Amino acid sequence: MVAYARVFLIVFFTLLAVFLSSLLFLLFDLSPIAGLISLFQIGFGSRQGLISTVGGAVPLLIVAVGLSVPFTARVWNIGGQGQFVIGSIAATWVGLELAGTLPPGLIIILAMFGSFLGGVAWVLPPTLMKIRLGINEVITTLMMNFIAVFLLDYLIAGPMEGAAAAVSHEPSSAPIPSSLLLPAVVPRTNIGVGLLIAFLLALGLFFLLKFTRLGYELRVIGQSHDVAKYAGIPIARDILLSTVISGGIAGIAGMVDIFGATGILLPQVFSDITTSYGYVGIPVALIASLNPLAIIGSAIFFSGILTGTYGLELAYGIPTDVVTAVYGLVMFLAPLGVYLSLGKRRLTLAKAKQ
Amino acid sequence: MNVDTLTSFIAIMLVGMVPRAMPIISAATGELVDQNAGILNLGVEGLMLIGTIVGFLTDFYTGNVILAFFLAGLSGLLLSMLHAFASVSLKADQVVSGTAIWFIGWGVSGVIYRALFRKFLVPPTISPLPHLNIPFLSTVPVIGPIIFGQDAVAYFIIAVLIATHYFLFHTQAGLNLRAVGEDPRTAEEMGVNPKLYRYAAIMFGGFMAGIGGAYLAIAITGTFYYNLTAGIGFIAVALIYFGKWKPFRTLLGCLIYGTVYLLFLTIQTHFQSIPYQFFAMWPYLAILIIIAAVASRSRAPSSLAKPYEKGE
Amino acid sequence: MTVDAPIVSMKQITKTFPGVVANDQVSLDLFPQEIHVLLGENGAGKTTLMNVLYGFYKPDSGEIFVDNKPVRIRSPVDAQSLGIGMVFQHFSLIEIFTVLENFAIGRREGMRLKLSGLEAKVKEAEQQYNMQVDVNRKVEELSIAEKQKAEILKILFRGARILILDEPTSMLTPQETEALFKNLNTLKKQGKCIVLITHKLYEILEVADRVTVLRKGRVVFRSGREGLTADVLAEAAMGRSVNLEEFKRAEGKGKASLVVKGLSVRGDRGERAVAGASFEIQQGEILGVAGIAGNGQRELVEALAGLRKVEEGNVLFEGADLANKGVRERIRQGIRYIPEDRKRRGVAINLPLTHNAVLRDHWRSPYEQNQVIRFKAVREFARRIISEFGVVTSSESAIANDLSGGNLQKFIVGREFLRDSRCIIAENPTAGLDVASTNYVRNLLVEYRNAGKGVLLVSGDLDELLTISDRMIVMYRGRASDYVERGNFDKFKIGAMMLGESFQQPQGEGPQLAP
Repeated sequence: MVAYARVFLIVFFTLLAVFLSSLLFLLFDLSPIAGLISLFQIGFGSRQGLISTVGGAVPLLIVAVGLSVPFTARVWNIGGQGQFVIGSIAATWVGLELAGTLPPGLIIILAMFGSFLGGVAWVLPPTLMKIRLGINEVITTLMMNFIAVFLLDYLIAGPMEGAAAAVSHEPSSAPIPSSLLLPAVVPRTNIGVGLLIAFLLALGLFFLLKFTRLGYELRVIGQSHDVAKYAGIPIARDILLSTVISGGIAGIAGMVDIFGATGILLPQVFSDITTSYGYVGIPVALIASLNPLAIIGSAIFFSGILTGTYGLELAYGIPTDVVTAVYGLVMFLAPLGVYLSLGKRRLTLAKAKQ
Repeated sequence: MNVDTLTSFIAIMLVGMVPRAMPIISAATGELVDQNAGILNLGVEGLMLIGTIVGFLTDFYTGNVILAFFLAGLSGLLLSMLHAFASVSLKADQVVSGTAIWFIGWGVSGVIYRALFRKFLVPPTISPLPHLNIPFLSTVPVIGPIIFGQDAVAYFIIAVLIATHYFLFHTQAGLNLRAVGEDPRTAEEMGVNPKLYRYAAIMFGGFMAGIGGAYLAIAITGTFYYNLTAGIGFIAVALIYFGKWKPFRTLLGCLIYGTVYLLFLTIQTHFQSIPYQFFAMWPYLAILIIIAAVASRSRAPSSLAKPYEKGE
Repeated sequence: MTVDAPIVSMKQITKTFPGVVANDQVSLDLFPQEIHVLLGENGAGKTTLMNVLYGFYKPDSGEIFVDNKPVRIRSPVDAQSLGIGMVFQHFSLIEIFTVLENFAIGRREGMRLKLSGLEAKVKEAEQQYNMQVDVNRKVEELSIAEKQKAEILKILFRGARILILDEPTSMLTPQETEALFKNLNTLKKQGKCIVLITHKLYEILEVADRVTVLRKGRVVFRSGREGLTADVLAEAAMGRSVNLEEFKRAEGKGKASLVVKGLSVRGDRGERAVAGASFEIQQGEILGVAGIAGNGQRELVEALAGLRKVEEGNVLFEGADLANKGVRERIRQGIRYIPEDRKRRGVAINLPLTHNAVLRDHWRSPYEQNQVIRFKAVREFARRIISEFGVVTSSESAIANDLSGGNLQKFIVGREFLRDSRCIIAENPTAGLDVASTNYVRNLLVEYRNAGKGVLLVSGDLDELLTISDRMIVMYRGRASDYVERGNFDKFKIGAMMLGESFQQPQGEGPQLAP
């Protein structure tokens, strides 16, 4: 019964947040109601919109399910974006270097492997700093994001610059050969193998969190380090494992984005949050209460909002930055809403037991 | 290169460094007070962005710089109250709440900007703040321009920093606040209201973050673009760690960071062949190194980021 | 010299918590110029009563009068304004501030922090009360006795007429205790009323002007100085003896199961909490550990359970030394642990009972296999615990937080009992349980013992220990006494040992850790 109440509250407050953000439409002489209706129609109603929604949800989904692992232990890996970026760099590099020398399927697998390693490498320094030196992981993982993003832009403006870019002055890497693109139902989107990978990861991590020993231990660690110690749980080791998993998976998300959709590395520094899956993954994971299966839904929802917002941009000139505000507001209100209603109940019970 | 050119080189660099460090100093001063009261506010970045857009807009439309800064600070203060409500009254997780504030600030600032400036093809600019060149003193070679040739707001920020130091360590309220940050239960027993102090601290932090953001737009870049702050809010938080939660040491950290930043910027102009992004990432790396170096010797306020339950 | 009117008069105070009546119609008068001792075992209600006076708790019924006027004390700030001050065992001092800064917290003397002015005033107070404290040192640098002095001076400085000290001598050396008493006497002569919550007999005899003894929430004894002896006090506090026949075990000595040799353990503040304790638990025996809380039992138990570092000494289980080998090794060897602090340690409060059922065993079969948790087995186990131990709950998926304290305890006890083990360390296992459940758990322990296994029973309830222990040791200030055989169980005598009187240590064992 309590579980249903929670879901209801989360959905309610999420929609409330969306509604509140829609008040920003007024700045563009658009009525919030009309705007919202359009948004949902475009994002979830039209064929084109759905393609964009589902396709865009794929990398987001992957990152978010990866985040659910350390978040369960209350280890806040904010570095998903950096790990994503490094993963995409690694995958692209593998793809470009090995193109033509090996069968495409094998190259794809190697690229996935490389992206995983890249993401892991990017999350290791902050994690070690946390375990050994007790440094809060939020700032450190975040700094790594900035380093990664600048590194990316540097690479594609320099060492990895593609031929086309040199002419057009719009930085990018060389595109990976189309033979390497992940097979898809809708070409140049991730609705295909990419989606499959995402689902498999969601299922796998759901299984991990719910049924394995590591998942169990992470839950206890997230509750209280004292209780975890009593239970004999190796806290440092588990924290390390959880961040490694999430870093690597975020890297894979980067690979999937390149090999499934964009096919090319593009600069990130001043891009907006709409393509920053590493950041958006955070509220996506939190809203779904860190449940990988529920994350599938929340990723599609968030992605749909984004698609709808693109539509609104075309139709009414509303900037896509709105979406960031939406995400932020959702991230703020939804957990609060649950806490407000259920938290009080917990509070009174606790007092009574003293 | 002889001594003269070297000194003038350094001088030029430092002159440019100080304004660059100001937004961080402002935000750090605010967050410093927050953390001394036991609150971790990671939304500084979002608060700065709100300050940036509000400040920029006000200046653009009214030309009144003072009003611009004031409104920027006010908007930061208002947004930060969300965080106060969540973490102090509802005792929610401060990391989650702070990150949400960041997103909100980020999005809202971008939206407002686009809303009001979509008609412009090229981002509009405002005239930069005039420098207050204090007569005579600012002509002292090398250090003159650096210390005495800044603009009024920079002096204001420094004044606030000094006042913060005085506040924290020489006033009754500052002592009470630090007591709340260490042990809210004891503080409450001694007649101090932890909630009140924490709310006030958060609001001050929001105000200063807003000012810092506005400074970035008005005094440094003269324009606004998406995600203008690029992480300096978080850098400010990191530097508080380095500064061991004390204003002057944090100031030192900010200045060191500013110097490092400008160093890379300057080096970059001499190596035009290498894309600028390569140099842009080093300051962030520097932060990591700085934090790691200071780690074991730093001691945070004991109740930092822990929600306080009355009667615990 | 007597004065007529009491400063504080507490009339018929009743305070209950779910499941327990902490204070039952307690009345207490506090006069100036006296040292008034509140004596009683753990859970007798002394601290609760003083917490009511200090404003931390609201009484369910009863009234409080200060200077003959009825008052309502809603918080410590109210209490302080009425002149009531309290010094807890964990001091209300901010460690990284100096003593002077601690004095300054919350003052209303204007904006500026005029520490020098304050220092002068504090010096006056030091003179007046003849207590010297170095106010410019940081609290964390002070010894416990110095911190205590600072805290006492602090509340005096803030106008306390009544000083409530909760177990003030528990962490002090004899010399420091002497010094404290000298100070208290000085304060007394100046008209203050000092309330000492303590359990130490000879100290009471030394300083008390009046004694009020509480047992199980009620006042059972009041007296002035005249005619007070250790005997009288111990009997008043502990009550009469218990039926010793019921749980008697079969004769004969068993093999040693858990052997502790010269164990020394440090407490949270670095102090010497356990000082060279040696004892052994035999197979087929319940070894009771008596003692007032705070004499090292908690640290001892934590060290034995693998949660605290053993500084010196051995913990031998069937030959192998487990001292610092960790929690899982102990579980492997078959040593289980029922912790006292169930909320903070025994269970993960926001997880369901199923998860909590295997909190300590989730890593071994049958609950885990190839990294996967076999929830079917986990659920069965949880259900078994619930049914066999009569845990009242909607289902095994209920969140631990939803259970009442008593039920939670039953669950934890059940969990530790149902797993294969050869030795159980039980820390206050029946705390908060109703009569039926308490008997049930005790019977379990006895059956367990009858099956040839060993039990270390640490309890603050002396009756319980006397009822089911085969042998007992008493812990006092970190030292473990010699065994007291069941035939020699004399509640009165053991009570005296718990209070520090006639404490005998086993030969040849002395404290090895430096203080």
